[in-house]
Amino acid sequence: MDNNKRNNSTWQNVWHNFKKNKLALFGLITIILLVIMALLAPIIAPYTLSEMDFANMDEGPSLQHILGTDKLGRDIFSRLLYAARISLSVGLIAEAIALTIGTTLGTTAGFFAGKVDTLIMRTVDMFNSFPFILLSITVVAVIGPSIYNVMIVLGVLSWTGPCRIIRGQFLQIKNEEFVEGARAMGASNLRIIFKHMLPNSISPLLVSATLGVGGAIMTEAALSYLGLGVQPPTPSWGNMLQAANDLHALETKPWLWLPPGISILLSVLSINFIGDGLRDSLDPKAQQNDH
Amino acid sequence: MKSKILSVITILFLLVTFVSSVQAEEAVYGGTFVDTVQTNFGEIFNPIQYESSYDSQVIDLVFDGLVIRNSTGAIVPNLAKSWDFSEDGKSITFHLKEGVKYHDGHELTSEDVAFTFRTMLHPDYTGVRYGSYSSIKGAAAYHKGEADQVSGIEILDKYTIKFTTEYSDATFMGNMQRGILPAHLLKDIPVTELENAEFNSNPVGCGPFKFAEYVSQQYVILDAFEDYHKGRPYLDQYMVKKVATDSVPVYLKRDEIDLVSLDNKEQFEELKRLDNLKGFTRVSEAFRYFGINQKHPLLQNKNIRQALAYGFQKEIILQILNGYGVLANGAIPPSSWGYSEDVCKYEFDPVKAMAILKEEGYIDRDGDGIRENENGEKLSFDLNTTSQDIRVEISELFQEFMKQIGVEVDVQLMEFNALVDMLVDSKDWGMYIMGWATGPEPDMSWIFHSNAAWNDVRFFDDYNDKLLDKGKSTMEREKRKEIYAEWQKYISQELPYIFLYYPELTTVINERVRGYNSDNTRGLLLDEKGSMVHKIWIPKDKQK
Repeated sequence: MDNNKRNNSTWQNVWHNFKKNKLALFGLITIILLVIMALLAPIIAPYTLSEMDFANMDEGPSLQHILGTDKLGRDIFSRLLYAARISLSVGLIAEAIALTIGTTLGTTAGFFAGKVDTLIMRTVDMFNSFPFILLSITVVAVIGPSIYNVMIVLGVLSWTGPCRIIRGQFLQIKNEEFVEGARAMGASNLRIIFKHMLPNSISPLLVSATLGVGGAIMTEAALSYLGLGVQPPTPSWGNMLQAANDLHALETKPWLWLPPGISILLSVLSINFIGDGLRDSLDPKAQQNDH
Repeated sequence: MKSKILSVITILFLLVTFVSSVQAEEAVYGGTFVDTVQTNFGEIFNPIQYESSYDSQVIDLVFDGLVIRNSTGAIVPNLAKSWDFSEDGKSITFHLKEGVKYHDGHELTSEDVAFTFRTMLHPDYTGVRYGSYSSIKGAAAYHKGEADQVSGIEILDKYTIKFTTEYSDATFMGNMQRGILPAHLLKDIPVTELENAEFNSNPVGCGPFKFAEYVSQQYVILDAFEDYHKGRPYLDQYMVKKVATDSVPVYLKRDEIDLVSLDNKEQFEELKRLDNLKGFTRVSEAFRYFGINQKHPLLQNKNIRQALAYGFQKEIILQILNGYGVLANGAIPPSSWGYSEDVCKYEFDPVKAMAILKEEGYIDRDGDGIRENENGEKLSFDLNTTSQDIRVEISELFQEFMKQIGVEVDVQLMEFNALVDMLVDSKDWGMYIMGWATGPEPDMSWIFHSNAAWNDVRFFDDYNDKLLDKGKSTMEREKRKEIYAEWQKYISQELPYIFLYYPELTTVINERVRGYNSDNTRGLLLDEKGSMVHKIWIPKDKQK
């Protein structure tokens, strides 16, 4: 009970600080709006994602199609909304996978230290020594491009960041009094990890996870742009951007590539603002400066 | 009177200056010409082993054949200076040019010719061209290993060779364009190993250019061959460079390529604004199609194939192409004498399509929008394509139309060579989209005959084989025309392919290039004597 209350007030404190950060607030609102639009895509979108209007193929913005149509006569605005679902969920799920793997391994490494730690950390070094984008391109090319594979590949390749953070935190607080106290009271390892150590390491992880989502959205866009991500006819911001591949379209048909481009920019920027805002408001030193 | 004389003199004078100013541009040697391919090379630069038409672009420059098709599609002499037919039309004696040199200085003789054609008939031959020459007398026995020699290939002397066919074969002369291999370099290599011979990546022929350098999937550099039998090419170097279709305008703007074929009208419109280019448009002797796996559990049913054809409004493709193509309902190009209009055209009729599917027992039973039969098997298959823009767009278009009639199409993107491998190695695929370059000869046995190596869709049909054989063995054009008309009608009913369109290709050539044939019915680098690539040149001040 007591514990809960204290937690509550901590989060209230964080929110209080977060609110003051204008950019972070802007990011949060934008992301919420994007998520709502993505969720409500079937209701908001005037057309379905693959509906083709053969009378208006490859046309600029008009009353019928507010953002214009692509080469096959599909409504850009509708596709943009559906693409938001794909791009955002790829970002979230990939990061969730990365967090799960990273936290598990990081916890293990930090808590047990010694040989386990060395083994895990050398694996991290190994993963980090490959150029990330090249490795993901290779892996996707081998296992075949699809939206699920992209999620898995991005998740499996980007767990090293969270892993390092958690491990560092654990090493730092392992010998603190509250941990030793719990141990002295006969708490099991699992209980110590989950009840005492993890909650105390959560803030840097939260920041890294937020920034990770933005990174995953960008990587998905890059892979889809290269034709290795989400497969047609499913739109994602990345494969919509492919239209800009054609010099003629790039110079004369901005409605094909501006909307997905802006969407990527807005969402990644917003997520990064949120991440920054979270970091500032979670950091006790920053709080003190505020007061 | 006086003024009249004066004006005549003035006109004459003007004429003379005009003519001399035209003549002033005399062909000069030197320079590098940059040609392009837009898909990966197959990397087998050997005229009897290659399988990708992108390789043939290089092969045609390195190797010459006995004969060649000229700008009107007629067969004209090349390495053979002349030939005579026997009375019954089944024997052809070729008289070779004397003193023709290979790039390594060796002289070409009838031995090389015999070697080239015999190899394709050899029991161990791994390539796909046996079928083109199986009409040669004794070919079958030799191919089965029952004879040590091909009785239909006889060397009469160093420069004379005689071919005899089992039956009169109307396609025989067309097949004699095959590049002639150097026997002295290859005769000691076992035929099974030819496929992987080092020669294939460093070929030696007697064509206008010799192979100099290949950088994997980037470019091939060819050097002018000093002793070419039609005279040294004006160019010093001919480069075939791989470019991404999307980057073509950039390369052209920067003057980095000289020749490119575009099937993208948008790019062409864009390029028209540049003043360093000239463009020529023609309907090509090629077609694009959906290949349908004839052994696929669903698609082996002819009625279902026809329903798919009725359900697809392929006219829309022309809209995507901005009118840069002609709708195809058959394989033979409209410019060929064998072309027939009298075929099933499958005018867009979704109601009919749905009625056929219903009759075949496919009804949407679980309300998910996709039809299934009584056993719950969904009417669903895959459509495989390379990631070339236009092919992806056509695939998505087809997917959407199929959705309207309750058919699920799963579009799969892959790299060109991977797609080709899949077609040959796997039996599970449903459909794919690709194209064939056919030439003016209406015989399509090499794609559609049951024993054709390129019959990737596994279309095995006796009546089809009979018509193709008959077309090939009939010599009179009028009779052949009737046979091919019947064949085109039959194919359009059986639907091993859904034919899409004949692409209208625009060849864009850099304005600095001189000497090509702009009066192009079949291509810019062909004249009445066949290939004229050795005659194109670049003015001194524009060479780089």
